[in-house]
Order: sequence, then structure tokens, then C-alpha cells
Amino acid sequence: MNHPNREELVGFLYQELTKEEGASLAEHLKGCAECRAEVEAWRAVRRELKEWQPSAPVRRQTQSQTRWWDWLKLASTAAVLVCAGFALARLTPSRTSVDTAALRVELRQELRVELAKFSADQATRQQEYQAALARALGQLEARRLVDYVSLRKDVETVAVRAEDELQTTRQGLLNLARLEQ
Amino acid sequence: MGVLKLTFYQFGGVKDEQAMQRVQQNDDSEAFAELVRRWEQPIQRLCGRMTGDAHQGEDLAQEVFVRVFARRRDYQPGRKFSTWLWRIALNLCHDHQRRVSRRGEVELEDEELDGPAIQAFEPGPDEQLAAQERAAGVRAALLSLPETHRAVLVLREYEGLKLREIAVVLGVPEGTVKSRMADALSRLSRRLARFRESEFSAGAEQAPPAEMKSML
Repeated sequence: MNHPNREELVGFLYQELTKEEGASLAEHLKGCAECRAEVEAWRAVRRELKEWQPSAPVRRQTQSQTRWWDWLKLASTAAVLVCAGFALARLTPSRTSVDTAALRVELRQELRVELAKFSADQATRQQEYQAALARALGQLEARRLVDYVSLRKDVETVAVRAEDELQTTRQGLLNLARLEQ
Repeated sequence: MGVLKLTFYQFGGVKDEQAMQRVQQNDDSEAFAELVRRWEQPIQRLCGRMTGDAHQGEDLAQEVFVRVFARRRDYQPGRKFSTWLWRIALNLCHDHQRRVSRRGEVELEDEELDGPAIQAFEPGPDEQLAAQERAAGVRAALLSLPETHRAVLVLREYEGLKLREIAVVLGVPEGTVKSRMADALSRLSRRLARFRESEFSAGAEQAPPAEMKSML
């Protein structure tokens, strides 16, 4: 017997075949226990998948504060690193105090190279830092917007509930007044 | 409530794509708010199911919308907004998964289940427990699938996308989606059968005392 391939069976399972394709597959399934068993097993899986319904989401507030704090930490770490770099560069010359002219010249040259390297590093680091800052600002802007949206949604919900309550109360008072009369 | 009515009035008939274009062109925060309102829950569900953790899903969903806004210029007008959104969400889930595995955290298997079904009626404790166990089994089985297979299954079964829509979201041919689906369903079928067996044998182990009592 010419079995349909598994892709076709999946199309049949999710009813995403054309009418003719679906009909001919149904016909095949009638006579083929093997394919029928496969489709049946898949159907059973689909039923079981419905068992997992995640709980309703709970809104948490701490997120955005942590983010700010993280950025602050990052920035201070960067500052400390830069200071350490400067201090190191300043302290290094003290090693050159050996009393030989030749050595002094050599060391001076070496230091100049180091300094050049350092300032180049510094420049790229600054560029990277600026780029990171720009990215961070973009992210913050987006996050602020997301937070604003969710906050506003909450406020709207509260407002709607309050109005409902008010209306219920008003109705209750009216009923009461009518009863009094 | 004034604000609410205004918003509904303003966006009642506006399609996602039009709203997204407003976000893109005018940084329209009202339009963005509307998109978040419409899509927050589906995205939370998707991320929750992809990671197996509802709380993680919420955090990731927030990241998704941050990214949507940050990348608003990348949205191509004329293309379906939801397709773009699902893709961003799946990418973030993927990044998250990679971070987790790099940190060496092992995804919990049958451990504490996040979010068993909350039902309107209160079934008896036994039924509730059994439902929780079944849900835990499904969750563990889904998490055992490769991410590419899980994505196909979650989008189809829980979010109701058509197979060809999933193909567009993932950027693969429809045939690939179907064969992944066949694969995923067969794997799940085997895994869930094993799960039921272990449950059954666990139940059987506890059974003897009762039987012995009845024999006495």
C-alpha cells in the first residue's frame, strides 16, 4: 500500500489540507491501521497538551529599579577601572630610576610606546562606552515607555472598577431612598 | 472612564500593522500602548511555555516589548505585525535559554511545577493533585523537546497559528514545519506514555497494603 508521508498526516491532523487531499487521506486511513494508529497517537498527545495551562500572570514591580541599579553598578565599575589604569600608568615610571643613561633612554621610549598604546586604548574604550551609553539610553527610553503603558493600564483598571463601585453604591442608595418613601 | 473610552475610540478599528506604523513613524506612545495591551498576554504565554516558567515568561515578555520599541525602525510596513512580534519573542526565548545553559543551570524536570491549572470550580484534592501531575508531565515533556520543535508545537497548539503562518514566523519551508511537528508529536507520545507508566507503577507500589487489608 502507498502510505502518505508524515507531513501529509500532520496536515490531515490539523485539517490544513485541501478538500481533495483530505478526502483521499481519510480514505487511506480507513484501510490502513498503521497510519490510523499514528494519527490516533498524535490526537491523544494533543488532548494531553491541553492539561498544561500556566497560571495567571502576577505583576511584579521590582524590575525597573533593578535595571537602574545594574547600570549604575556597571558605570561605577568602569570608572574604577579607568582610575586604576591611570594610577598604574603614573606609578610605572618609578621603576626607571636606575642610574644608567642608556637604560633611561630605552625606558623612556618604551614608556612613550606604552603611553601611545594606552591613549589609543582609552579612545576606543571611550567610544565603546559612548556607544553603550547610547544603547542603554535607547533601552531605558523603551523600558520607560513599557512601564508607563503597564502603569496606565493598571490605573485605568482601577478607575473602571471605582466607577462601577460608585454606580453600584448610587443604585443602592436610590433603592434605599425609595424604600424609605 | 475618559482615558479608556478615548483609547478604545481611537484604536477600536485600527489594525496592528497601522498602529505599528504610527509607532515607527511618530514614536506614537498611544499606539504602542495599544499594541502592548493587545499582545502582552499571548507573548507572556508563549515565553512562559518556551521557558517552562510563567514568571520568566512575564519578564521576557517585557523584554520583547522593549525590543519592539527599540527596533521599531526595523519593522517592514506591509508585513504582518504578529509575525514579526512572534519572531522577536522566540529569539529572546532562545537567547534566554542559551544564557541559562551557559550558566550551567539545568532545566528542572519534574521539580516544582509553575502554574498548575487554575479552575473556576474546585475539584477535590485528589483530582487537583492528579491534574497538577498531568500538567507537570506535559511541561516536562515539552521542555525535553529541542527548542525548534517546541516552538512549532507551542505556536500551533496553544496560540492557534496555522502551520504555514508558523513557517513564515520561523523563516523555514512549510514542509519543515510539518516534519518537525510530526517528530515532536511522536516524541511527546512516547514520553508521555513513559510518564503515565511511571505514574502507574508509583500508584501500584502504594496499593499492596490496602489489598492485604481487604484480604484479612
